[in-house]
Amino acid sequence: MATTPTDPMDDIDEDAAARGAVYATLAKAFEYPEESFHSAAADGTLEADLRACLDRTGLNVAVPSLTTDDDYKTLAARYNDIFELGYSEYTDRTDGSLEAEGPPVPLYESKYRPDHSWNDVNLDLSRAYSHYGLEIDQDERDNHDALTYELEFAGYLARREAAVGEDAAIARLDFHDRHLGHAAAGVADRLADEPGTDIYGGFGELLEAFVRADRNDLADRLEDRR
Amino acid sequence: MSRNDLTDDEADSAGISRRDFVRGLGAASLLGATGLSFADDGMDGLEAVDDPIGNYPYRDWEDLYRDEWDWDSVARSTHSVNCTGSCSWNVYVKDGQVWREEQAGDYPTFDESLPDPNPRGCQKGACYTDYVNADQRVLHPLRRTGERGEGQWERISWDEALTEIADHVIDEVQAGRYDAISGFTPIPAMSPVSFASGSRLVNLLGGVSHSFYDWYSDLPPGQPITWGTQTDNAESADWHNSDYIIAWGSNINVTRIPDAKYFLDAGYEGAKRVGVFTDYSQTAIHTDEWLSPHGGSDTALALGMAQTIVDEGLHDEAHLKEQTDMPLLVREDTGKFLRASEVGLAEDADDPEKVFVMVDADGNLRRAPGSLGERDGQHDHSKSIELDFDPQLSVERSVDTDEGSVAVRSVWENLTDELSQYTPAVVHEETGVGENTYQRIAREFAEADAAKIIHGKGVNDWYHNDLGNRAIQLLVTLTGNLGDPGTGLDHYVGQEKIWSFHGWQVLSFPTGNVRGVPTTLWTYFHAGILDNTDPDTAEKIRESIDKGWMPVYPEERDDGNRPDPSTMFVWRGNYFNQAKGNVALEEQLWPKLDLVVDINFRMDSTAMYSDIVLPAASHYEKYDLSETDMHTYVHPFTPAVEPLGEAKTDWEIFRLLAEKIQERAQERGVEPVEDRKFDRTIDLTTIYDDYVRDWETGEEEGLVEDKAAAEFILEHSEETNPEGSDEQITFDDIDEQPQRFLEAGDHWTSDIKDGEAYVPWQDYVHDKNPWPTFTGRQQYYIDHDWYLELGEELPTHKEGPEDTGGDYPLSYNTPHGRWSIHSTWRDSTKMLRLQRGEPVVYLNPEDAEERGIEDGDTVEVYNDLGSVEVQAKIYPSSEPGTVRHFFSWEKFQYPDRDNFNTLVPMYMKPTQLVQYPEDTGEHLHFFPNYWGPTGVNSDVRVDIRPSGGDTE
Ligand code: SF4
Repeated sequence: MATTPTDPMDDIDEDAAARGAVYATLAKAFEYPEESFHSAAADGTLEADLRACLDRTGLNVAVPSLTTDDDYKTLAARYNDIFELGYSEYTDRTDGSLEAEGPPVPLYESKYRPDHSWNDVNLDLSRAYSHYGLEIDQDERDNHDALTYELEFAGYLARREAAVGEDAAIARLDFHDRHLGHAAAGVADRLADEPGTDIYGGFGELLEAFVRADRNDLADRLEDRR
Repeated sequence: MSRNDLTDDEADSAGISRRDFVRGLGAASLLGATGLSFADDGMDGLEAVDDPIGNYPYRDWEDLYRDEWDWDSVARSTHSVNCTGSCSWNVYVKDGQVWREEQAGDYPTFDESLPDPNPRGCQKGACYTDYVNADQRVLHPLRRTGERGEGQWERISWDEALTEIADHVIDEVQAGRYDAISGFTPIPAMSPVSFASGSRLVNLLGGVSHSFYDWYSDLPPGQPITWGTQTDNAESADWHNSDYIIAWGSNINVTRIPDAKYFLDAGYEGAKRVGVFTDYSQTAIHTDEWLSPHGGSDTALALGMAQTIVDEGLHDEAHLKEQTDMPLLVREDTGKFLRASEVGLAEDADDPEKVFVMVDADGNLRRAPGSLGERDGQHDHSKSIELDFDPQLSVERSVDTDEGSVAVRSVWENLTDELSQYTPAVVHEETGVGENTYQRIAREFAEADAAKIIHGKGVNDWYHNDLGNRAIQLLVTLTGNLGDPGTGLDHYVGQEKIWSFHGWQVLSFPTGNVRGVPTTLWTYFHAGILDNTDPDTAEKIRESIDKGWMPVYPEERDDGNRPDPSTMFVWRGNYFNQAKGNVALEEQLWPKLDLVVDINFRMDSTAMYSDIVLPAASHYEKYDLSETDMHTYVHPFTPAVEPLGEAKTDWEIFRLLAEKIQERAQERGVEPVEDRKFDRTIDLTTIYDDYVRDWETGEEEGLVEDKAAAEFILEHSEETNPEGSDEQITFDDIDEQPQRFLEAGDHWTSDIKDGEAYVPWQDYVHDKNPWPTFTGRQQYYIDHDWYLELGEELPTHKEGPEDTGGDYPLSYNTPHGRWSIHSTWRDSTKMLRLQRGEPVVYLNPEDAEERGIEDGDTVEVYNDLGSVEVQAKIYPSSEPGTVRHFFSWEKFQYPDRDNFNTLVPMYMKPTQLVQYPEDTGEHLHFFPNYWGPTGVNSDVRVDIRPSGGDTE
């Protein structure tokens, strides 16, 4: 669709727009890989352009390696193994604790909120999405707390901040504190413990670092407005 | 920095409007990040239904809560998990998501004197939402990339998955191996449309439909043997009509949670409730009296009670004379019934050799009315068993036959002889139950106005379950407790049949030619039982197959070869996990299968060990019907929400597969194949058209949608659309409120009556139609050669097979647990939190102490077949000598993937392989879920030791 504009940043807040692009990229990265994602990851353009995007954000976030030597099938299988295939497994037989549900690194916020019920997490998100007139596509629906929805929503709010109004920045900060911050830290933690994550290990680090940096920056900016 | 310079819809030089930008379209490209263009559709999971740049003022999070909360919709649904509950629930939906469920509580009351039927439910059903939303849902078609069970998968598209399966199926059918294609799915009543989905396709393919009721050892073989009927029982509301209830091995408070109130309430009405359980079970604690026979000794206890009843003259003589085979004469020399043809009676009958003989009060020989030889088949209600003479129960004499004088005795004489062995001393010795106690219970039972036995799995899983059933049945027969409110022997284990039978049957098997197979035999045969059992059993299995009493598929070919099964579809069940003889199944049967396809909403053990897993809609995402023999209502599943991810309903999945097979068959130009056994042609080029055609009306594409299939069942069943009546139950009716069935079709043994709880057997007891047995009566004497050879012509107590699993000191059994319905919810966090959270065995404190085992220790349970590592729980309510492993944990919940069935060998009882009469089989013939060998498992021996102990 779009071609590269000559001077697109005249019209919108470039920093917020770039953050929006990073969130959109992360959302795609944590979705089941498509061929286009794989080829960008394999030929290095993903990493290079993500770096460029981050440079335009004013955030100081180190970018880990985001390339892969996997062929497409291997990458897809890796994604499945890490994020998708769920069944019960012992995590610790000495105390009988059981990871009863889900894959090694579940991509749902509620899995990382031991003190919050699934309903509380998801209802809160449902409220947030619907406040902004957003709904989950029912053709292939997932739960409200799916990480990709949260990242899409974070991207949406960032782009709103860039192109519509600054009050979105406050919503972004609250969203980080209430949801995305927990999901990002949880996913990154689990990924760090998981062997054989390849490119997803890098994305886990970036996710956590970027979300944290964005949140802290927002908090600084909005300190007196809260 | 500037913003808001773009007009909202006007595109900038890059072709992006502000609205598009905020929606996320082309946002990466706008930044010049072409390497991120894969992310240019910045929101494809979330959709902007309102204006993305609209005015959504935000000051703080509270703003999001200003809109009043209201559910978008409330849908009616239930659970399809073989729980027999069939409880109607309301499912609450907001923003395309299910948030909670609540018992619907609107079953109409049909008898004001009974407790309110509402609400029904259990704690598992109350958290099914967790499964709908769970991340162990299978969301996409998956193809195995590693070894079976390794858990390595790739996501594939629906088209890829269906094409691969379709091509495989086409190859099999074209090679004549359509009978190597199996479909396993249990329990139609819990969701008949979903049951029918795959069964219909398998039927059109000429494939094999598997039985389940016998395989799960839910079928009480004593009922077809004695009553000629698969099973029939009262709805649970009828418990309340009893004056005396014995819960015999049926742990109602755990396994019948929605119905348990009727058992408890009956007590308030003055009914005495007795529990017969080896352990002080969760139901035993609520009874007035608890009897604890040794495991496997129920038969001796029942026969002891029968002896008391007979000895003290408490039996119902009129019932025995009219309704049972007790007055029939048996030849002393052969052990066979004396036939009317032998004594020149009943010459007008179609087959006097199948007419039986009684002696009237004057000593004259009389033909027994209603015998098979004068009936037109098994069920013939044009004949009657009503007697116009008074037969003698006790007969011992000789009769003149064409072969000369023959000594005969009545069944009653034979039976009383048999019973006389069960003296109080013997019964106490065999069962451990006090001599006075069991005799008093027998007396009370016989003297109660309306007495009932609720019979369960605790009795039915033993090798000699047929003898156990027959002995316990004898108690209700002797006392005439059949056919009236509050009476009967209610065997509630699994769900054998479905109320709306005809509609379900013609939907599932449109060709009318069904390759049904007894799953116990099929499984064990292909897992090598012939080389792994005693010679006598092996010989009898061969004989049964050779004589055509029991089928095994694939059929033996003309050249004497029998191909291996090649293909298996499993849906709505966890066959691989639940299979007894698990080690042999995994090692011998599974490798024979070239393609295993599992259709599932979650990754259970069968899915794990499949080749392709197709994501199925959950119970809150589809249309279907729900029925149970615990009640007489029908209510629906309706889709509260869209299926999660790429999941589809079972009906849609098999319909799409039919469509793909047709498409590929046409592309490949395959020719129709003549069916080897049935008079039909298997034409894959029209299989989709056949699948969606309504075969009853001929309407093309009448059954595309699953709702249409549900309506088809209601339309074509006597229970919901009775002949000769304007009344009809439609899908809309049941969506409005559960509806009570209008009639009972002829696969039930009583009518459904207004204002009365359903009670079986009235067709025979009140209407005097012949029982569907050889003799036309409740038949306690079976003169089949094998029964005579094994000394089982009458119910008798026998020790079970020795050393099942090896010579070990402890008995091992696998009862149904409280926190799961079979394997469903075994992996539910909520349920795991209510228990130990991992596979656990219950041990008597003495057994544990002897072995140095403490509560919470990790232990190994082992026998010759294998060993499983589990946690020990000290259970003082257990009798010493028994290891109780409440099933059915998933394979992957054990460290080595061995599971509770690893310790259970393949074994089955030859008496359940017969046809009777041997030549024509009207009384006992193989029919899926009606008659076939049961997959018994309670005779297993094991020992237990702390984990890490020595291996012997
Ligand atoms: S799981 Fe079964 S018993 Fe429990 S609520 Fe659902 S339908 Fe009823």
